[in-house]
Amino acid sequence: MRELREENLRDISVGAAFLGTGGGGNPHIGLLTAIEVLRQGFHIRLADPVELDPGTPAAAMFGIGAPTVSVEKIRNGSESVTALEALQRHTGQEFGAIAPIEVGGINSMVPLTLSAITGLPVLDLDGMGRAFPEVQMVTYSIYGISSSPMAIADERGNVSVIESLNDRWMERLVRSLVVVKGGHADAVGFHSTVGEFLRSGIPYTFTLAEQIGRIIRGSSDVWGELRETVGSDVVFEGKISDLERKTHAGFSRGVATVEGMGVYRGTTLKVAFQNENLVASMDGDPIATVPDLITFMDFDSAKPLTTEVIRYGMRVRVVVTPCHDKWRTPEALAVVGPEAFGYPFAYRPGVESG
Amino acid sequence: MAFRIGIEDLRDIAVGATFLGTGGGGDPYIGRLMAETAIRDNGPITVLEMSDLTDDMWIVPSAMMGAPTVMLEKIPNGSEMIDAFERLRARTGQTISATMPIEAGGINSMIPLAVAARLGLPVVDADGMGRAFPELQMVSFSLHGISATPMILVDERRQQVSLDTMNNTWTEALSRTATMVMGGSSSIALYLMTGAQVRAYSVPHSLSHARHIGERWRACKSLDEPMERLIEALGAYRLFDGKIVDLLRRTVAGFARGEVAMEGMGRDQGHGMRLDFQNENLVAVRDGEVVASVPDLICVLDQDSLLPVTTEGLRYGRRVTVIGLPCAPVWRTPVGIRNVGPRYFGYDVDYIPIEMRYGHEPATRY
Amino acid sequence: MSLRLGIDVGGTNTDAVILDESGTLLAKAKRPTTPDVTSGIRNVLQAVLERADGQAIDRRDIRQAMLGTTHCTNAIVERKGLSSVAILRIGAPASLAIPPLADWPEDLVEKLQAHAEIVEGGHEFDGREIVPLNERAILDFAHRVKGVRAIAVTGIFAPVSDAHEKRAEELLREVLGEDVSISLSSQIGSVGLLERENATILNAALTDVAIRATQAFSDALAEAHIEAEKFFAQNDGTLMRLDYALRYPILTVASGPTNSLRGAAYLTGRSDAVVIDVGGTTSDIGVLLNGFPRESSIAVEIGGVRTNFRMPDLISMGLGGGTMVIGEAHRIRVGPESVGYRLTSESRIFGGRVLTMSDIAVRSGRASFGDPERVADVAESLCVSALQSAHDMLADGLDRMKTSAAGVPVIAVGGGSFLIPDEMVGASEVLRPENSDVANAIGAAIAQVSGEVDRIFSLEQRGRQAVLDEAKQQAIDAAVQAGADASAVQIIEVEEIPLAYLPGNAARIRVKAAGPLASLTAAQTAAGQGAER
Repeated sequence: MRELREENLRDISVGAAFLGTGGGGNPHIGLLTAIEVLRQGFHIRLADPVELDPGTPAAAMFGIGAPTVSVEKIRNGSESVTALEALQRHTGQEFGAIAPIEVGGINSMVPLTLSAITGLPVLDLDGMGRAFPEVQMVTYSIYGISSSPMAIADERGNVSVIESLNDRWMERLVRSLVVVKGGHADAVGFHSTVGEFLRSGIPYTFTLAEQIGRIIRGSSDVWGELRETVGSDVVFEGKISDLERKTHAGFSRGVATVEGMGVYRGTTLKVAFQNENLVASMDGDPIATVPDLITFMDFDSAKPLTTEVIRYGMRVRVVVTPCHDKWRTPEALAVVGPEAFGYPFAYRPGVESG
Repeated sequence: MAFRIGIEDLRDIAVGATFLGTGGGGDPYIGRLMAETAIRDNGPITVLEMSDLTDDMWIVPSAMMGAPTVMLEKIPNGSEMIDAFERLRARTGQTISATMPIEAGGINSMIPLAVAARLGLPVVDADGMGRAFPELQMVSFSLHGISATPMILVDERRQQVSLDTMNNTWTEALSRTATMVMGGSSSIALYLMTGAQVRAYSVPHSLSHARHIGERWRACKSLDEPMERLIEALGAYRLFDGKIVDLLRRTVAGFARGEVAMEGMGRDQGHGMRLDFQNENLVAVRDGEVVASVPDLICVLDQDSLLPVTTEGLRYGRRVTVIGLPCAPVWRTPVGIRNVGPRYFGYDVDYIPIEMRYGHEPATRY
Repeated sequence: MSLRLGIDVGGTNTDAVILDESGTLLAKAKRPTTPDVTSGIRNVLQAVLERADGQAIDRRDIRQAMLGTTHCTNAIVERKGLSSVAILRIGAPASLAIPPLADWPEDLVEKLQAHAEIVEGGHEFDGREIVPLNERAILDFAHRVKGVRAIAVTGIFAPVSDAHEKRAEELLREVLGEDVSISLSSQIGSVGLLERENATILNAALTDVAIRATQAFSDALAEAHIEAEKFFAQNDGTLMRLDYALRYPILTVASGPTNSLRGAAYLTGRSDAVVIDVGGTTSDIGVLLNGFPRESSIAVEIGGVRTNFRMPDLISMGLGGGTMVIGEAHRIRVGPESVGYRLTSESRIFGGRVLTMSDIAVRSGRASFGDPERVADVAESLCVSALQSAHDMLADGLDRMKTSAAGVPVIAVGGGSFLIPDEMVGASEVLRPENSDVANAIGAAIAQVSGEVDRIFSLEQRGRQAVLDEAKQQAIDAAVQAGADASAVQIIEVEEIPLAYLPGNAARIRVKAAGPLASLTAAQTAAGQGAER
């Protein structure tokens, strides 16, 4: 167990943006909120899950909805507490720890704030090791923790508790309610135990995010160190030449087109996203797909870029990072492989590029 | 004094509920079959009158939400509404003494009867509308500040959504959406109230009123000039006799809206009526002049069967008699009119109670 | 030369006609309907062929034979000859509140002794699964009902998606083979689970009746040495092939009134009119829209069972040739009692003692049959009042069916059509087509082939126009698949009803397409070419 300071939070937030693979929402707002609670004298504790009693009841906390909305309609801070209390009331359990669901993007930060307010430790693990758009796209779900019942709360104090048949149904029900609530809400679900989260989750991803953040913020050899630490590979360099974007049924969807520069001159890379980057195709051929991580980074500063900040004319590097092995099983690929997102081809691990 | 209702009463109540449905609320047929099965298995239902309610009793209304067309196809399994009721009971930790309808019109007149029979609980002879309305905040309880939440929605897969909201408009929006995802219909328990609140805020006698209408309908059907007799017996206003000559339906902001044009027959030969509806019948206009409007009840009766035609069942060529009935007094207060008057539904028309339009003696005008 | 034979079984008479390819009536015959139906068909077939022989018509030229019959209606109403049925509903955990056969007449429930189960599966209004289909439960069901003759399968929202019904059929066949007859609700009715399930169960129960009826029809034709493509008339004025009729016999129920309306349209060349069919006991009034009967929207009961069949919108009143006239001139009452099929023995003109509307018509010179001498004593004033009463009744009926005050063309058909006056209140004209006494059989002979779509569409994703276009195309495809000439299929009806209380733009859309038989137009084209040579 260790207490996170402002500096740790800044590193984690940058690593989270990288692991967000274009989606997951900009962690910056989450970072400011977390720093604010630290300044008010609260404490954020990150727990090594093996140090806790595996039988400790725990639940996952996360924000749900379109990041574009959460950038504008900033939380008031009570949403996650309301949701946590509603779930505790509903299940009759007192939770002893909070499990993050998604280290990528803003969902890396919101459990930390909840930890500060409630005093509960945050487990150093998550259910993705990256960001994904839907409730069932979580290793907890794939390896046996049900998302149901789930409590969701909005800034007005509207709170709903949902019990579903399975996690796909949960996704439909929750998503539709979130759209009515204005596009964003905080959720607490997947109630289980610390031991179960350790078994089904991806361990030490907060420590990893922190390392990545430290590299991006301070290293003189960002690309080399990223390759060494997380196996990342720069697959493309170029300029954003087109961006199609629309919000549909609660999701931001679109395609970013990058015109090659330098050694990539004369080639075009298209990256399709649905909140997160899903598939990168070079001149029509897919070169990287979900669940591997596809990240846009600023060409000069190496800052990870989310899809909502990408603008025409930006110079970028596209980096592909292999996903965790828990995503490479057939049952996981059935949920998050390219086919699950409607693409007519199967996942091929590794990185192919020129 | 409390009284009992058995299977033989259900048909009358169902007929009455189609009148109170004022064109909407869904066909009570499926609900009636469910209530019949429940009573056959569990015996007759005790009905509590207002005077039977004690102040500290807890009462939970039961209902279904969604599209009647869906309910006709995806019939409930019967445990959804029990689940919803039990979940709300568990949630509040109170002993629940009775259930009741929130809506006396259409299928929702029957659901609480099925629940009451299944759980061996009494049902209160009251509701929150005295008719049918399209949204769940359009109930008398809501006008008096009663929260619809905690509210439970359950589907046939036993999926459940419980809602706690800042106001009843939010509850409507969220529950309607959840219902849609659940496949277009759900069973709900909501508006937890004490006996004192039900006594003070509900529309009383709606079950016995529905049964009364059904009995009168049954009695008049076989008489000479049955329509005249029925209108007299109900104390209704005869707004128009005519034939449907045009029908326009469209979807506005997701709601099924429509207009039906009628050409006069008999006493109304040479005149015309236009009736606007949105789930329920809303505004009746005779020769360009509004003769009745929501929240008063407007029913389109088939001249052969004397039964009300739902807005989904309106067809070109039908011979109909349009009648009007006064609504419950609660809807005639300024706040009532603001919530369910013609302007709420987008008509630039003042609400004038039907008695004032027609004088004080129903059915004798013309 | 290519000829069509049409036979229609009515309550009183069985009629037959032979038409040539241009639709000209070559021969007609009428025989009393028999209790077993089949011998009546044989008799009228023999009679019409005798007429044909007399006119040197070669029966080998009959290429299509169409039958509108009451075999199925009678079997349900009389509860006779029904097959053993097992009932499978796909819809748990939904729908358990109301089991199959709820609200059926008890005698019919006892007669069927049907085993019923509800298994997990079914669809939502937008085509999603309610829950996945429980295939294991269906296999178990199949083992439990071994030996049953027919199975009725009804899935929730099967008109939107028939995937679970189709899969259930495959699974049932795996266990039970080809001997069992399987009825799928998606092929039979529209949205409204109980009514569609009821119709599907009735359909399954008619399995053996259908076999007997089609066999009787085939035998009768074979005995008469007619080798023709065989069709059954459906209750919407269209045809189905024999193999289809064997699977969906319920669709033949109540084809008679429809055939009559269609025949009237054909005989007059009018596509929009009111048809008054005056028979022996009743007058049926129906409306033609675009050449097809206007359909009723009310739930239809067959033998006490509620179904959601498309049926012609008819009103029936107790006025016909056999209707009794009671009382004196100033206090006369017409009907509703009737001598019915005993007209030829009990009415005055045929030597009986009962005064009927036929007697009145003969006395006043409107009709000439029987012995006019026997009614010479009937007072003229009485005739005037009786005819006036009949006229008032018909005019009232006409007005009920009309949709505007303007006069509409009226087509007078049926054996008692002499009761319809030439000038009628509400009618712009009264047409009396030749051969209207066999309008039913002509209606069967000229029936078209149709396809229909009736389901709930979500307009959210693709917009209204795209959905309407899709529905229209589906209806056209269904018609072509049923045997219609692809180049001549037309959309004859479009109805769109947005779902109440469900924001989000879902609507029930019903589209119907119909066209002439492809084989018929092909035959005509071939005949035309033959003539040119």
